[in-house]
Amino acid sequence: MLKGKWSRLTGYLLFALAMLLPAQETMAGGDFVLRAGHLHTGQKAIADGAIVVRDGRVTESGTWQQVSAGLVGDLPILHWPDAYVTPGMVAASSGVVGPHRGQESISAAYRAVDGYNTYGDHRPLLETGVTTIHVNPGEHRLMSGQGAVAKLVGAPSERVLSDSSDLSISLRDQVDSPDPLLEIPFPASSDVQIEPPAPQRPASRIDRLLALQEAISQAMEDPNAHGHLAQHWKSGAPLRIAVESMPDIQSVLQMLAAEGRQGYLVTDSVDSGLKDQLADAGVPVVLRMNGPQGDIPSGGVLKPYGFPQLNGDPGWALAPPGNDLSQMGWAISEAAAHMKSPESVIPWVTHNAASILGVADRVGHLEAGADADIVIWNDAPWEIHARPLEVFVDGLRAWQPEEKSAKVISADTIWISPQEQISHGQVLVEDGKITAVGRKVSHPPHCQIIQGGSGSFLAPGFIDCYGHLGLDGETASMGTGDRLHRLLGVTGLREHSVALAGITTQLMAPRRLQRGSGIGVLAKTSGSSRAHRIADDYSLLLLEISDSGFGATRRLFDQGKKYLESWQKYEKDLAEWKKKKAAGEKIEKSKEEEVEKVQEEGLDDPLTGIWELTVSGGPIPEPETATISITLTGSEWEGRVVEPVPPIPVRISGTLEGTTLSGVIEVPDGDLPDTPRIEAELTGEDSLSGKISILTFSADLTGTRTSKEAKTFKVTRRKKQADDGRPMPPRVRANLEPIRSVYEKKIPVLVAVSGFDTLPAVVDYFTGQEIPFAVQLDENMRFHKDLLIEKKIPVLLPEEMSFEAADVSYMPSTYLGRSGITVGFKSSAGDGARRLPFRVWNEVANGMAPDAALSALTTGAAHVVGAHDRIGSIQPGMDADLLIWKGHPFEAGSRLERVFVNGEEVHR
Amino acid sequence: MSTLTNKLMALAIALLVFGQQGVLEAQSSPKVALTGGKILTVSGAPVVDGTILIENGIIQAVGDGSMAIPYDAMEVDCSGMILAPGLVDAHNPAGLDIPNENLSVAPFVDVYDAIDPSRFFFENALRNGISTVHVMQGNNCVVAGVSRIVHPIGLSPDEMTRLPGIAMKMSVSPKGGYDRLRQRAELREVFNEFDRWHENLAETRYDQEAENSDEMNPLPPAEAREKGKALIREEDLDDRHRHLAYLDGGKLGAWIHCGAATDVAPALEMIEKRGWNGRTVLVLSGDAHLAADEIAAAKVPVVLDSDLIHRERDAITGDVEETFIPEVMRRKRIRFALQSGRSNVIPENLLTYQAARLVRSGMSQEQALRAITLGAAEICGVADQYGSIEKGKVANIVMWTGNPLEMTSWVQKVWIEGILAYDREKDARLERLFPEAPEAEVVGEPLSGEGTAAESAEEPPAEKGEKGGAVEKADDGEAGGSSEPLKKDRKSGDAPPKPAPAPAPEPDSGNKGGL
Repeated sequence: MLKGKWSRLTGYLLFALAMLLPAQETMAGGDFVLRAGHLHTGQKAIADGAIVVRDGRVTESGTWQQVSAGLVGDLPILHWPDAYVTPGMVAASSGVVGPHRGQESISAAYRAVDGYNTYGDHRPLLETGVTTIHVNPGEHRLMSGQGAVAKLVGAPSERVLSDSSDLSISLRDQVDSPDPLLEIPFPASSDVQIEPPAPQRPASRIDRLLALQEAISQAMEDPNAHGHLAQHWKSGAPLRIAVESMPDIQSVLQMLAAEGRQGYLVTDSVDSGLKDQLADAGVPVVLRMNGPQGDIPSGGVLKPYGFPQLNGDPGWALAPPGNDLSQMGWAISEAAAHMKSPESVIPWVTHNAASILGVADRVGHLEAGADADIVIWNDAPWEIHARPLEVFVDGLRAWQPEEKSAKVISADTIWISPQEQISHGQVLVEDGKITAVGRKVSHPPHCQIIQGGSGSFLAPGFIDCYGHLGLDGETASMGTGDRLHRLLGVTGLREHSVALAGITTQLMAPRRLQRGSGIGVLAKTSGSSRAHRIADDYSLLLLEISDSGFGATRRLFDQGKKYLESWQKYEKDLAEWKKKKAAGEKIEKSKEEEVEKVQEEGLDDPLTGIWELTVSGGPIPEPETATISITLTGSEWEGRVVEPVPPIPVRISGTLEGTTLSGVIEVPDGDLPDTPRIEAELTGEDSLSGKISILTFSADLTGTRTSKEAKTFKVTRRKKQADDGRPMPPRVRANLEPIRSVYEKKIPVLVAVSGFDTLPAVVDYFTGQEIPFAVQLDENMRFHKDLLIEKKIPVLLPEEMSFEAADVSYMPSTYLGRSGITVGFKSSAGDGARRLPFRVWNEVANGMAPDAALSALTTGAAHVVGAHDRIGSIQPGMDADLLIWKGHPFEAGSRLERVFVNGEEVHR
Repeated sequence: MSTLTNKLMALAIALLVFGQQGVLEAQSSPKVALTGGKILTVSGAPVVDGTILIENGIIQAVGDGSMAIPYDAMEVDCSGMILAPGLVDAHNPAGLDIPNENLSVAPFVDVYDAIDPSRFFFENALRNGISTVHVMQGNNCVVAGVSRIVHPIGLSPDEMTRLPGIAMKMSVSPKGGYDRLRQRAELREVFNEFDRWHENLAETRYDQEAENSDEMNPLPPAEAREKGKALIREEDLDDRHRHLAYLDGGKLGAWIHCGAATDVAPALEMIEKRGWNGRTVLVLSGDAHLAADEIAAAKVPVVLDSDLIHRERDAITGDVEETFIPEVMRRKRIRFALQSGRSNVIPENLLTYQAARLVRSGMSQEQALRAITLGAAEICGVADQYGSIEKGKVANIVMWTGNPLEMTSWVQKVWIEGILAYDREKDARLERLFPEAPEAEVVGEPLSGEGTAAESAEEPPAEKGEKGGAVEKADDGEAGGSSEPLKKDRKSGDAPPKPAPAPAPEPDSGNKGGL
């Protein structure tokens, strides 16, 4: 019963959800203010314009200054600084409806609005920027019926703007010699003669206008003739006349004058000589230009594609070739090319078209009172690559491209290196990466186009080679095993201020390293999640080496090397095993490996010895006792269960910090769902108490030491091998993982060297092991200049601007910078990193070359942190961390205008 | 004439089929009592161990086991069975020779001329518990003609017909080879032409009357047209316009096919403009349910296509969305009826399967059963006679072996107008389908009264002579004194074939004067 009820309930829910989804789609939008770099209202162009939309209508439009003065602040502001905004375009001719399938050559009864699917999903057509269309009963009959004007989307009952906008007449060749009209009589019987089909007119080209005029006079006598033509003729609806030849245009002008009727022409081309006659007659033209595939009219007077030379705006409109809306963009580009200013094409597809169709009160412009049908273009609409980024109809977002992450950024100067710069170039950014750099890059459909403007200077994002942004006051020392990256998340205000200073990447380092080693994480200063900000959990091994302390580093690397070898062995074994397995060979099981552990005698420490432990409480019904033997080595301890003798050797290991004991009981794989953990405190000299826990269960643990001498024991460990002989991987040791990565050349090393003689030893050690590394030096770096040059070692400059060594004062930046050594800067600060560019500015003020300074913050820094394959320069394949400056960043008067991190703009 | 030959052939086949089945057996007594079964009345609460008393084809009483049974009633023990009203198929062209005329505008035709009693559809309808079929032209039309309510038994359209002249079928969606422009231009012209004809007729009638009357003065044409409308008599209507006049006069319902959501608004506009408020129904198909809000606002009932699920591909994302249409109707509170499918998809041919799908989508069993009985009868405008087990209604009763909406239940017996019209035990076709099946044991088991089956099996030969009489009698009972407008149409065609085995009823007596 319950089950049935539940499934029904689920059914309801799913259904309700399904009904809700489409509703949500249309909910997006509403009341808003749209501000755009370029706005064309359909009648005039406005730079930095704005439109106020309320209840799906435009209530105000003008320059941003005018509009913003009157804003109350209750509306969201959509800011498109680079976009070109126009009214939704009006296609004065379309192929969405018709031609009708009726028989009559002359009939007003066919209504295009009947064929317009008010529930149809026409959203794909919005991609052309067209939001309103004229629908036509066809141009295949002398009089095909009544046209209509409708929007492509919107509530079904409100889509149609005009259900009878015109009477459609066609003088094109296809109207000649229509099929004769057959009327089946009722009742069909021997008494009623079946008449032969009645021939229809026009019989020939010369007959067209004559047939039309006769039909009209016939209609005046018989109101029912020609599909109630009289009624529509008398209503004074404008005549829409499709013509092909120039003489026909003249005849039509005469007819319109004689009948005293309003009308407009739809034609593929207009003779330049006729344009004045048309202007005098006040008859507008819908120019449906021949497409690239169409015929190019021959003869000297016609312009290619039939576009006449025009002076001023004659109030004409443009329609796509062949009524194919997808060619609208081509028509606009081509028409714009023939106009004195390309901007004058916009009214042709907006306001003029709406006026001709008689719907200018609602669409085709963005003045107050108009419907909020708005197209946001990525570039000026007449550009051949122009595409809408968003389309609003009645103030609701009706269409947007699925993928709009592509951006094309244009700038006067693109700085690639001190030697190489591209003037008036473009950078294509896709999916957060730079994919092309050049003078003219490709424009993927619907890409966002960002114009840097005059004097713009595009530079890579700056890199802070050593900072503490994101630690948020965390001052603990951290070692190689600490997961520093877990501190990172979505960026906050601190990161925002740093990003807006131009620093797009920071090497996040702990404030103090644990025993001279630690890891650093390269993190972007802007991103919506950790995954967006970092490429790896750790990016760099950080070391501190002074005169005295090479030992710790050496030990760490030795351990790391062994660890690496255990993994290499495992990988080798695994590869062999796989090979054998694939070949079907029998796999021998290796014997158990015995490891003898000899206890170091004579130690007196708080833990070593025999302990009686009692486990009670939790899920354990009765207290259990056990005897274990523990040996402490440094801060790590290891133990074994002595009593009761377990069926397989059980090893216990852990660490002791102060009096806090923590450890795990190593259980052979698969016997328990989780590893039991021990957390305990030494409560007295020979006693401890704490908890033992597995999964979510825990039990109390108490223990007393009965002897201070641990038993010597043999540890028999099963060789790590699965049942099928597959080798088992070694235990993962977090603190050695970074060392392994260093040996595998996955991450480089950044060594802070101090002391006079240390650098040569360090260089020897790392070059000897072929480990890539960079160094940070103290005041003694002056003495090692030649070594640094020789070995091409990148150097991280310290925070101090100048040093004094052996009584000589010098500036590291200029001193090293001039000698061709790759250098990087660091902030060693949290959100103080935002002052890093200013610090470098001071270096420039003191003699560093501006380009060298820019290099040091970008490519140089990328080398120091070992990420020069990913960040620090403007090249295909690099992360799209870009800065748009007005002027060179290290010249007076320049300023940072826009910042992009991973291709996404960081907004102020 | 070839059509006559066809009809005679059809008749012969019908005789063969029904003769074997012995469908039209009549009981010895005009009174029948069905006792012991669980009665799903549809109109009210179910009655356990109930009794239905039928006299002269009409339900006289419905009660529980304590109800007294007249001594002369033939008692049929239905214990262990479920008695439900005969199902009502609200819209079906399957009983017709062809679903539509070639002629796009044919308001003058009547399904009477195309009903083919020998069609397997009728035989199968009975087997599946359908006792009332609204036979109507298909959707491929502009104006298709007039429909009627028939019983799926009988040897001729006359015998089958119970209520002629139910509704006029039209379509606002384009018929084959048409587009919407032409479809609607033609549809508008039908009524423009009718209005012109009707006004001229009114004017002529006024002038005629004025000539003969001293009280009536000659009037200018416009006024004469207005006043003359009331003077138009039945005999003034010509064949071409008669049905349109009935439609406007409210004697015929308007059933309009909408094949897409965009067609709903024009259909509703036409209904509004012509004032067809009483018996208007939209026959939906395609994505027409998207216009559910408009339909709900107009309070017009609908008949759903047999394909109850609509699938649509999103133009942008390409995702396919499925909609269960009855659920949309239920949520918008639109009255709807189902029709059995015309396809060869067997389950969709079963009204009970369609109703079971409603239950699956969340409707109650009662609502689902109502949608194929009383609900459908209401939409057809015949709920006063059909669709439920109530006193005074026509005794179309189906005996089910279990819940009608369960796929494991079947129809055991069907009574139409109180006459046993179908008995599964004597279903010749089923016998051929399952020759080995020990039917007497398997089928007979749930029946407690073995004797009933034996009884009715023996009876038919003795009562054969009364078969026609029973039908005729029922007709007489129903036929009122009202005029019979369809008479002329039928007469104008071929003479109706005379059913051989029974005294032929008067050609007109089959037509109930509903018009």
